[in-house]
Amino acid sequence: MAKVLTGWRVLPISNPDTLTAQFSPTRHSPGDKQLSYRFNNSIIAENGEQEFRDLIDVIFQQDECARFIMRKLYRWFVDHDITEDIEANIIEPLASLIRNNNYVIAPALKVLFKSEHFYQSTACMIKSPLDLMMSATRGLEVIPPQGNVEKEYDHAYHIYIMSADLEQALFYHPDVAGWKAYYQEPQFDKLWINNLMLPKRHEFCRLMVEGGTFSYNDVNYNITDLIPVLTLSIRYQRHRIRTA
Amino acid sequence: MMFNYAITETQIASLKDILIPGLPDFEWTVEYASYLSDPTNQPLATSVENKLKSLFSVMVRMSEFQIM
Repeated sequence: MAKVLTGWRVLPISNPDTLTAQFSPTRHSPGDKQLSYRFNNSIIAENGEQEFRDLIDVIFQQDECARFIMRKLYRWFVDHDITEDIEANIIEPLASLIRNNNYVIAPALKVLFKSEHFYQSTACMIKSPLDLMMSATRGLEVIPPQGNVEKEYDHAYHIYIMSADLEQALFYHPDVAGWKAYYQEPQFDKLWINNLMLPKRHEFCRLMVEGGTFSYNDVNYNITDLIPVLTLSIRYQRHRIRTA
Repeated sequence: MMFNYAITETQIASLKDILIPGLPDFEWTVEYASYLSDPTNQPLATSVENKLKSLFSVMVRMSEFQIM
């Protein structure tokens, strides 16, 4: 497989065109290439610059390809716990639907979203730090400070700093794949909580209600008790009356 | 509204105990009603606010608040 991709070069970083990959025929390994048994020992014929397209075609010919896509979608939309039962009765049928639709994914998603299984909603996730801070502010219907740019900024900044301290700094994900809790098997969202983070999560939620100070990177931040508890509880009462 | 999953009766009882320690339920109804009828009464407002603050402070620290 590596041989198929030989010949593709990157221009030096000083070149303004460095982001465009270049094909150099002299660097290409010529001849037919045989893939491993995982790809049914299929052979990719010499096709120079276009060879990678043939390789992609071979990848898409594998049944596993559709299953892989379907598992990713299932993890994102439903639950990360893919049991043998789910693999056999949900992933496999939807994967073949993807294959039969020539890798158009929408039909399979339509079936998934209309299924009873999707609405059973048995999955339960640990809130990501941002979700948690949002529940402790927006979720409690906190109204951010109005009419004072500095206070408005501080309010948002404190939420940002707190979730950064809880290991989810917005716009600073650890690598291109994003935060580990969203994809790292087998723990997924449980990665947000460990014996350092749990007390911190509690403390930050408490600060949002009671106010106080916390420090991050040796800088102290003052949190005023942002929650206008009384306005909130009146609204909550109305909400209860409405829903009762 | 605060929790995505229902909490137990025992939990509700202990939350009540945080809001009004050792007092019967109607104490809160009475205090809150008198606040609603006279929201400008500062000492009363503070008393209600502090009780609610300690209640919410505990609620956001419950395990149920960590999940969605």
